[in-house]
Amino acid sequence: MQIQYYLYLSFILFGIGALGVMIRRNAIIVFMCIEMMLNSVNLLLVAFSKVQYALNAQGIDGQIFVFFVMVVAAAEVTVGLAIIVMCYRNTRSIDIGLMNRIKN
Amino acid sequence: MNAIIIASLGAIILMLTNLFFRKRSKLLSVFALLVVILLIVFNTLEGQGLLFFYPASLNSAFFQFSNFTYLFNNVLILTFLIYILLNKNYLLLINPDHSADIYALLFFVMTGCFLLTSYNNLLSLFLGIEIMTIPLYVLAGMDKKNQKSNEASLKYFLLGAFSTCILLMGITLLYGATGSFALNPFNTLNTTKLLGQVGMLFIFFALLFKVGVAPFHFWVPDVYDGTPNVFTAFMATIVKVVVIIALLNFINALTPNCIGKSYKTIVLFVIISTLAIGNFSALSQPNVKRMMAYSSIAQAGFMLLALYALNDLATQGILIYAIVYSLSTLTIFAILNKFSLATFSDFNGLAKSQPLMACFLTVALLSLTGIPLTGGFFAKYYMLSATFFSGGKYALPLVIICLIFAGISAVYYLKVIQAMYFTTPPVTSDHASITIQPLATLEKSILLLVVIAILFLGIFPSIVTQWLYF
Repeated sequence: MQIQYYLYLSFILFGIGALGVMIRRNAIIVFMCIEMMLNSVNLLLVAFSKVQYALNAQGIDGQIFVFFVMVVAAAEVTVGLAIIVMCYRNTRSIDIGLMNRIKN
Repeated sequence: MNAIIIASLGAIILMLTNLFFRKRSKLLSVFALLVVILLIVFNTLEGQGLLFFYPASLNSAFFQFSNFTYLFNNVLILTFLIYILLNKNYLLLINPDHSADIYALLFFVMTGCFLLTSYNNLLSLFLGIEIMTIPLYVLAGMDKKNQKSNEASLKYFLLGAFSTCILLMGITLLYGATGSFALNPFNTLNTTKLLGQVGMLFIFFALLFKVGVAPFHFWVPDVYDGTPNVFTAFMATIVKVVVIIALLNFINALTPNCIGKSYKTIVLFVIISTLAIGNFSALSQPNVKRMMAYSSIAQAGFMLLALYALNDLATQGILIYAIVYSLSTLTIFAILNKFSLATFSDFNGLAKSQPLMACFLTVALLSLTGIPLTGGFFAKYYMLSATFFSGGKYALPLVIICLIFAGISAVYYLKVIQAMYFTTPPVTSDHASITIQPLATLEKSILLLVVIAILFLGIFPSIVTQWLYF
């Protein structure tokens, strides 16, 4: 299978995620979109790693990088969900459109 | 390497000892200061060639240590020391049950900073950025009951995670083009493939996002304003400066043919729009803290001149700029801590009621403006002359534009000074509600030292830069 297909798939996933971050107003959905972008990157890393391995038989760096991305994503989920819960406790809402109190 | 290990060990120990330190908050500050002093000693010793933790050669696939790295690490640690000394009472007040955790998170941020000054691999860049920013999301929301703090934390988190995704996409595309994560100009990064070029652009933009400069600055004012004062001081000084150094390391590792002609155009656009947006928005802010947020955007624009010039003079310049900017901003935030709500009218007549405080604030503000005899003058002078000597037909116009914006910045900095010295406070019952706490003795002496350092750097800037070559 050619590398282009992986590129297209992961670009489409990344684009959907980026679009979701920009237009959705629910903090959890925005967060899910960010996770989707991270996973599209993981997919691309594994695909590139496979290509490198086919080219010169030394290229598992990409696959190892994926583990680091997963660990960091897990850390981000922990912190992010805690922050969202904290906001919900104080305001009873996780709508980021309502969040413009700082300016006033 | 010593700095990275000691900072992370200190953070882990502090994280585990919250129970022990809860009733003994004095001891906590002493312990944190001890770790910082250990950091300075071990980092300096490593610069002299004495290693403790890392037996093999220092420059591995992941890290690259040079004189500049050690010197800059020392600058960071000294800034951190001053930061703790000035803010230690306020760090304990924000969340009294978790003050050890706050220190632990600060040390984790420092670990990330040390990774970013010495990375030699895109993996260490990614890990450094993440280790630095994830604790910052928590610190921004540390004032749990305050809705502004919550909002700042959530905004910072969502936008920070988004920019991390862009950074990762860039790293992946660069890996696809070159087949390696190493940041070595001689084997991998000399790609001219479209994939690699797009990847570099993504990494560049993601790092600009983390610095908070013009096309990607929109999160800065809200986050800086909502975050508790003590952590804003941290974010605006150490973190901002470190990301610029990381950006400089990244660009320095690229070969000229893969940077391409369009690089300078992009940087030119970023610098000019940053200076314009930062300065013009700062003019119309009602609140000094929010004005400082915009002013930090504008100052970052000046620091980005190092990315335009990319020569030795720019390296010296960014070092002086980092020191002077951090010291001045820390001074201003230490004084802002004393105000409940720092609008411009709160500063009316401060020179009469708190002459020493007004004097410190004046020196710091003049230094940020870039008045001669303060360190800020030489910081700006080095950056502008580096730009001028870098050549190219846009160098001279850029210098002139920067000078004009430096002039505009004087307007809003001097507005505070004018309020302090030439405006009398209104004698109404409204004024009685504004309470300004006096400076403690320790804070006075530290601020005095900082102000003397700023003035000293305004006369002998070479005292710092000479360390680059020994």
